[in-house]
Amino acid sequence: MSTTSSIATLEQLAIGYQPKKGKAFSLFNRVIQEQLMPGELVCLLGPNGVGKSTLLRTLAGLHKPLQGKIYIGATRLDKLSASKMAKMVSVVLTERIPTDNLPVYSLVAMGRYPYTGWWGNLSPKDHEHIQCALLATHTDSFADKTIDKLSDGERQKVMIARALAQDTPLILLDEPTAHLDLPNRVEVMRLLHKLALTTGKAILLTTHELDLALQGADKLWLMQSKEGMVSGTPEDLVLSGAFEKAFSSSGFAFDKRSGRFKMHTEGKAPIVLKGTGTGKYWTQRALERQGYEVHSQTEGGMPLIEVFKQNQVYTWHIRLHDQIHTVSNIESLLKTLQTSQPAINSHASST
Amino acid sequence: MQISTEHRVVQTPSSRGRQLLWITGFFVLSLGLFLGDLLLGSVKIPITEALRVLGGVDIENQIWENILLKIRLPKALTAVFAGGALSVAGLQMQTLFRNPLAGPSVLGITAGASLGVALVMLGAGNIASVYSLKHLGLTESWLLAGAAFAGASLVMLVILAVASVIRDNVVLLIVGLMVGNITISLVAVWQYFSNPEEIKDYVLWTFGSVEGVTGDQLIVLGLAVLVGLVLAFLASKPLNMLLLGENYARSLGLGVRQIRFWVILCVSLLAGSVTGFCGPIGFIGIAVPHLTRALLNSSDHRLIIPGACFLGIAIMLACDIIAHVPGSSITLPMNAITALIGSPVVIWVIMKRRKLQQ
Repeated sequence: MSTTSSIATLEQLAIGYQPKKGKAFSLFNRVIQEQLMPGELVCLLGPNGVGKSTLLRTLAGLHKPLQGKIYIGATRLDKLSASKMAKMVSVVLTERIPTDNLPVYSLVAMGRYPYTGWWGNLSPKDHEHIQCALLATHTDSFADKTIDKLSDGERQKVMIARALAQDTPLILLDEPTAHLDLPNRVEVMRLLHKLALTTGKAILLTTHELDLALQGADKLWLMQSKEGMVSGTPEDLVLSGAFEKAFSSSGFAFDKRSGRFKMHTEGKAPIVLKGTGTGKYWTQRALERQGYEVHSQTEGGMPLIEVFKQNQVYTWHIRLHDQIHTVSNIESLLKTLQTSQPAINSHASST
Repeated sequence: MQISTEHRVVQTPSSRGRQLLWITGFFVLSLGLFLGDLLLGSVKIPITEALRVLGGVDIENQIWENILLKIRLPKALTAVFAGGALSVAGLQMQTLFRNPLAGPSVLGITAGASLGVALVMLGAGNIASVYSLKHLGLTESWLLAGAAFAGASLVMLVILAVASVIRDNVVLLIVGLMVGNITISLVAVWQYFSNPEEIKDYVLWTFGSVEGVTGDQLIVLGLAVLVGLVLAFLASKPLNMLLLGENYARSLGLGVRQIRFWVILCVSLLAGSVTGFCGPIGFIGIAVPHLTRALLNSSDHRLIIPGACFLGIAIMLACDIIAHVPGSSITLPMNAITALIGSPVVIWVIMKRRKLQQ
């Protein structure tokens, strides 16, 4: 244990729903025992319906835990007043803001509401916080736009700016990368990672982006309905096999070496691939997608593909039944293979 | 957390000035229309004479003085109270329900108030028409205002209970309309047992009118509206928080339950008292908030509450002037005029929404 004290502590926590009648429905048959440390970016991963959002909402005080305790700093969450809580925890939720003509600056300024008086007047210090939040999230260039004029990526960054302006040690984000395109997803993730590092805040987010979580998170919380919660640094979880186990399914498999998921394709045909570097990597990806089992050692009878690179130009040699075909891109490579050596015996007549 | 000044983000201070200019404009407009409402009508009174009467000077033409002080001044004041109250009530409801089509008349609040009024008349054993309310004294005025307030808050509570279960805006609107219909039919049943003369009076009352509220009634109405407006204005910051939705508002430390109760209190006070004395006046409560938001280009309640209040007053006074068709002795039903002005605004809101949702 490090000497720094945790920002949030989850003790023997059980989450779920308390229906009006009958037994409480726990989403989880194990209790959760975790800590959030300063400067940590934690990704909460797990299959749909396992209770990621419920855990997040429980931590935000929007939902009551079924049992157990949550400490924010040294105080129990249920002992915190609403106004104190607002200075400890800020949230970015999935729900859309129901208001149209709200300028970005005013929206971010609402993050300062826990610090302002009855009337909500902003002090120079409040304005400074707002501007810091706008600059940190690169949203300052459209501060006077109204939120209905923003793209999804811009809106998400503005909501993060609002949470930042609230100046809380803990920020909770529910699927901040959902509905964003890849560059925006990466940018939001990078932004959050940088914020955790530079501000010393603890940031907890739920996500479905396994790749991004593996790359960007300092720690992963893996939620599984049966085994309970497993946590640790992404690399440890990969090496121990916990990550693979959490997401094992018949549809795809996790490749520990590359750290990515591969789609299973039935009826694998063996193929040998030779070459080096980037050209080989992408050729292998294409072949695997098509359902070939890629080997690097030559064995008798298997088709052989070699990747060459000369003057920044790639060429592929395909040795099939003692014939050599030369192609200049992966598309024609796959086409050539497809006609003589299909990976999947989709037609009943073929052998 | 230090930023050099040259990196400072512009807060668009120009828009704040422009917004304050709009509000001042609404205020000046309502002042002008107030004067217009005094001068125009079946009898045209010169402005110099009118100002002398208002200044407390006796003028030679006793008829003009009587018309001004006994008819037109109370009427104009009632229009001021009704316009401000209904607009601010509608604004608060639209924010609380996160529904652009919410308003006192749409969600059955005014219907609830009329039911309250009807029940008081029945309970007192006085099967006289609601229209005879115009001859009430001070105690009865309070009783009437109280009953209208109770009826309005009852409906408001029902709608709020439904809203906490059903998130769908359209469903909520339909429920509101139905609750309104139920209360109206209860009044209709009571009407069935009344005599034709009273029914005629009741029908006149449903047309809505700012006339005939004088003396003690005017004081009661004015006090109720003033208290309601002040309460609404004080809730500007919590209402702003609600713009983000309830969950964000809670995460900012807002007690959502308390603010709901507060808004119910305000809306019932404002819409209830106005409906009790003036009859159900439609469309002002739904249309004025939208116009205000669009003109000020803001959702900040610290600006749009005073904005909607003054714009509502101006529009209500304009409606009253139009209803009396200056230069003629005709008086058109107030509800017809407010609907003529309000309906296009509602259509515009729906069209705008559709474009946004695509």
